Amino acid sequence: MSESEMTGNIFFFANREAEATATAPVKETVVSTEARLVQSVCDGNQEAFAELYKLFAKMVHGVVLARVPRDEVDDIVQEVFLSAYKNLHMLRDQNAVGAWLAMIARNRTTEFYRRTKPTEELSEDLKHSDRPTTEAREILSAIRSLPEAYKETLVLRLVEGMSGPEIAERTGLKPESVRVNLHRGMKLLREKLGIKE
Amino acid sequence: MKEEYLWDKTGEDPEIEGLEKALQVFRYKETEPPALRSNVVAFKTKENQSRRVLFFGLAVAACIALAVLALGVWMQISNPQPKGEGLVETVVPKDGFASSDDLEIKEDETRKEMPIKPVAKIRRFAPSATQQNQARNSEIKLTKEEQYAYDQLMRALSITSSKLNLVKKKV
Repeated sequence: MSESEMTGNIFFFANREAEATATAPVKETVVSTEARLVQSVCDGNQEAFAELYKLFAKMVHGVVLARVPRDEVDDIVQEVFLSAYKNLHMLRDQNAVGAWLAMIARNRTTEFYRRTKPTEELSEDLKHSDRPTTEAREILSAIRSLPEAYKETLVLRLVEGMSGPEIAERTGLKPESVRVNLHRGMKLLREKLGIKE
Repeated sequence: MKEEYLWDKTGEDPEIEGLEKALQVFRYKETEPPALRSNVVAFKTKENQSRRVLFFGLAVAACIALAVLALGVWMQISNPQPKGEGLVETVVPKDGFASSDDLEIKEDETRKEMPIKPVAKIRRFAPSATQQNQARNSEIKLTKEEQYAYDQLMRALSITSSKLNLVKKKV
C-alpha cells in the first residue's frame, strides 16, 4: 500500500469526523428552575439568591447536621451559602446546583473539624431552649455513626422530613441510590438502636 | 417496616413516624438568607467571561509566537548559511531575446539581425533549508536498526491503512 493511499485513508476518516461534528444536531438543554435562579443570581438579582436559599437551605442543613454538632450547624449553613454566592460564576452546570451546594457543605464540615481544636461539647440541654430528649440525641448519634452515604440520606429523611424523590432532586443523587441508601441505612440504624423487625 | 413510607411517605409506618417525631427538634427552622453586601460580590459573569476569553487569546498568541521563534532559532542553528549564498544570480535570455533596456545598440547595427544575447537577469532563491535537509537525508544511508524501525513503521501504517480501507468499504 502506497504512502499516499495511507494518508488518503486517514484524511477520509478525519473529514468524515469533521462532517459528522458539523451536521450533528445541537443538544437541547433542559433549563430547570434552579438553573434559571442561578442565572438570575449571576446577573445580580439578590431576590433570586433568597429563593435559592429557601429551596436548598433544608438540604444543606441536613448535610451539615449529619456531620457536625448541632450548635455549629446554623453558622456553617450560612457560610456555605455565602461561599456559594461568591463562587456561583464558577458553577459550570447550572442544573447541578444542588449537588454543588451539598459538596460545598461537606467540604465546610471537613474544614470545621480541621480548624477547631478538640473540645468537649456542652450538653445539648444547657444550650437550647427546645431541649431534645435523651432518646432524640441517642438516635441522632446513632445516625451519625453510620457510613457517610447512609447518615446523610437518613438525616434528610428522618430529621428534615424530606421524601426520597425530594432528596434525590435536591442532592443530585440518583433516586435508586437514595432508595438503597435509605433502606440499608434504616437496617443499620435499627441494629444500632436494638430495634427488632 | 413499610418501604413505601420510608421512600415517599405513602401509607403508614409507626416505627419511622416515631423516629421522625423524636428527631423533629433538630429540624431546620426557616431562617433568613445570609446578608449580602454588594462589595462582597466577586462576580459579574459577562465581564469575567470576556476577561477569560482575552486571557485565553493572549495565551494562544504567546504560544504561537514562541513556537515561531523557536522554529526560527532551530532553523538558524541547524542550517547556518554563509553570506551571499541565499541568492543565486542566473543569466538567462528573456524570451530568447534581450530587452531593449538591457542592450546598448549602435544605430548602424539596428538593421542587422539582433544577436541573441543572454543579458536579462532573474533572481531566484536558493533551495530552502528543509529542501536541503531532505536532499541530504536522501543521501544518508540508514543503519540496520534504523532500517528495521523504518520497516516496522511502514508495516504498521500499512496494516492500519488496510483496516481503514476495509472500514471505508463497509461505510
